[in-house]
Amino acid sequence: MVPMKPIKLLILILAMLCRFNGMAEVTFKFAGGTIEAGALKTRMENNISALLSEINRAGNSGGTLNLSAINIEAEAKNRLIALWEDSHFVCDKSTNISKCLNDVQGFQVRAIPITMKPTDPSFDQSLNRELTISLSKSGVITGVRPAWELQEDVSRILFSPGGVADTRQRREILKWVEDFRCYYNEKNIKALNQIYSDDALIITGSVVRQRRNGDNGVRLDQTVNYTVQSKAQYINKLSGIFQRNSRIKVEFDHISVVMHGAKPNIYGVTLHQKWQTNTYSDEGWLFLLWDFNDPEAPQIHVRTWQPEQIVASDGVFTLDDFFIP
Amino acid sequence: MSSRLFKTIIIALVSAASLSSSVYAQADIDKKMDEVKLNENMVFGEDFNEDKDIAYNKALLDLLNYMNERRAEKGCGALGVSDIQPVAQELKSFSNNRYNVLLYMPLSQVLALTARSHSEQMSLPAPSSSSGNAVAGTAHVPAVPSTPTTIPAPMPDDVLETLCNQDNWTEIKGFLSSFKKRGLINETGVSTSAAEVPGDAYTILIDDMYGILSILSPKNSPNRINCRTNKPDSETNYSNCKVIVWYR
Repeated sequence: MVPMKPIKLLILILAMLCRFNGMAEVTFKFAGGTIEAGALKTRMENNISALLSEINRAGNSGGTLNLSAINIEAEAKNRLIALWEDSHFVCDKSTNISKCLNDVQGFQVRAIPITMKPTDPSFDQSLNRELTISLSKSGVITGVRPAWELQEDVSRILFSPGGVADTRQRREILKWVEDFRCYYNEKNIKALNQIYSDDALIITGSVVRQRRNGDNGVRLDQTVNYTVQSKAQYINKLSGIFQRNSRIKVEFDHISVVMHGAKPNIYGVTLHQKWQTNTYSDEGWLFLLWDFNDPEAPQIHVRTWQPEQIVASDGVFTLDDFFIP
Repeated sequence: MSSRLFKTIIIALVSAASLSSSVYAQADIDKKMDEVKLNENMVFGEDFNEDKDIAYNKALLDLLNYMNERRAEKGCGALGVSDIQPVAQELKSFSNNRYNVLLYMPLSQVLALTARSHSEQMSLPAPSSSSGNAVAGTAHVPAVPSTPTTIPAPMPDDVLETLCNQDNWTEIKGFLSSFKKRGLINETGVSTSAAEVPGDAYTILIDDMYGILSILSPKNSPNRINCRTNKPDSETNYSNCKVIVWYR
C-alpha cells in the first residue's frame, strides 16, 4: 500500500466527519398553535417543503427551477422564475419551522433563512436573506420573495405603537411594499397600473440651478421645482422607460410607516429609493400614501419623489401635506 | 509508520473530535429550538442576523408582537419590551455566517404577565407648562399647576426605548405623533435653541440630513445623559445640530 501524504489524510478524515451542507430535501412545518391542525395545514406544509426542496436542488446545481409539482399560481410562478434568472438562492436549514401569519388574502410565512447565490456579478447586497412565502386561503402559493434586505427596517415597521390590529396592517403593508418594488424590477406595468388609483397624484421634485449676474459677480441660485403628473402620464412615461431599458433595478431602504391619525386605513410610507437603469441612476426619497380601505386591493393615491438635496432643505412629504377626504 | 504521519493522524482526530462535538452541540440546540417552535404551549420570537445583538433585539420585538397578539385574543392588555425582557428564555446558535436567536416563554406565563409600562403610564403626573397649553395625559390624572423647577416625570419605558431605536427624524416624527395621540406624551415642540427647550422635556437633536444625533434626558435631571448610549452628554457636543425637537 502506498502511504497517503499526511495533509491528504487530514483532509480526508475531516471531510468524512464534517456534515454535508448542500442538503436538497427541505422540510417545512408551521409553528405550534399558529394554525389549526387539518388537511389544509398538511397540504400547505407539504407544498412549501416541495418548493424549498426544489429551490435547494436548483440552487445547489446552478440549474433552472422546475415548479411543475408545486401548487403555485401562474403569476407567482412567473415572478419566481424571473427572480431566479437574476439570482439563485438556497435554504440554510434542512428543517424550517415558522409561524403561520394570517393576512387579508390568506397566509404568510416569513423568516426562512436563505443564502443568495447571485448570477449577476454586480450584486452588492447581503448574501444572507430571508424568504417570505404567501399563500391563498386554499393553500396555493401566491408569492415567493426574498424579504426586505434591511431586516432592521422590517422590525421597525412591524414594531407597532398602534396595537395588534395595526401590527397586522403593517405586516400587510410590508408585503405590498415588497411586491411594489418587485413590480419595477420585473417591469410589470399591469400591476403598477392596478396599484395606483385612477386619480393618483404623482409629484416629482427637482433642483434647478440658475446662473445670475449680480453686483458681486456671477452666483448660482438653487430653486426647487415640483412637477405634478396624472396617473396616465406617469404610467405612459414608465412604459417608455421599461421598453428602452433591458434592466431596471430598484432598491428600497430606510422605510418608515405612519398611520393616519384620524383614518385608520390610510398609511404614509416613506422610503429611500435607489433607481438604476442601463443609462440612468438616481437616489431619492419616496413618499407613498396607501389606502387600505379595500384590503384585497389597496391603492396608492399619492407618490412623491424628492432628490436628496431637496429633502435636506424641504423635508420629506408626509401625510400632513395631503388632504384626505 | 513515521512519527510525522502519526502526529498528523492525532491532530486530525483531535480536530475532527472537536469539530464533530461542536456540530453535535449545534444539532442539539437546533433540535431544542425546533421543539420549542412546534410546542403550541410556547410563544416565541426568532431572528437570524450576522450581528448577535441585532438578532436578539429583533427576536425580542418579534416575541413582543406575537405575544401581544395572543394576549389580545384573550382580552389581555399589551405588554412592553421591559415586561418580557427579564423573563424570556433564550436559545442561540451560529451557522452559515449568522446567529439564530430564539426567545420563548410558556403561553400561560405570557397570559399571566401584567404590563409594567402600563402601570407607569397610569401614574404619570400631568405635565406642567408655563404657556398653560399642555394637554392632560389621561382622564384619570388631574392637571397640576406649573412650576419652573418641575422634576421631570418618568416617561413610559417604551416611548423612550422606541425613539432611541430610530435612526432618522422621519421615523421619530411618526412615533411622536402616535404617542401624543395615545396620551403617552403630552407636548412636543421644535426649536433651534437649546435654551428654549423646557427643563423637564426630553431633547432630540437632529442634523441637516434628518439623522438623529442624540436624545438627551431632561435638563432638570440630576445627571444629564444621552439616552441612546446612557453616557453623559449635552447639546454643546453637537455643532452640526440643525433642529431640536423636544417632548414631555
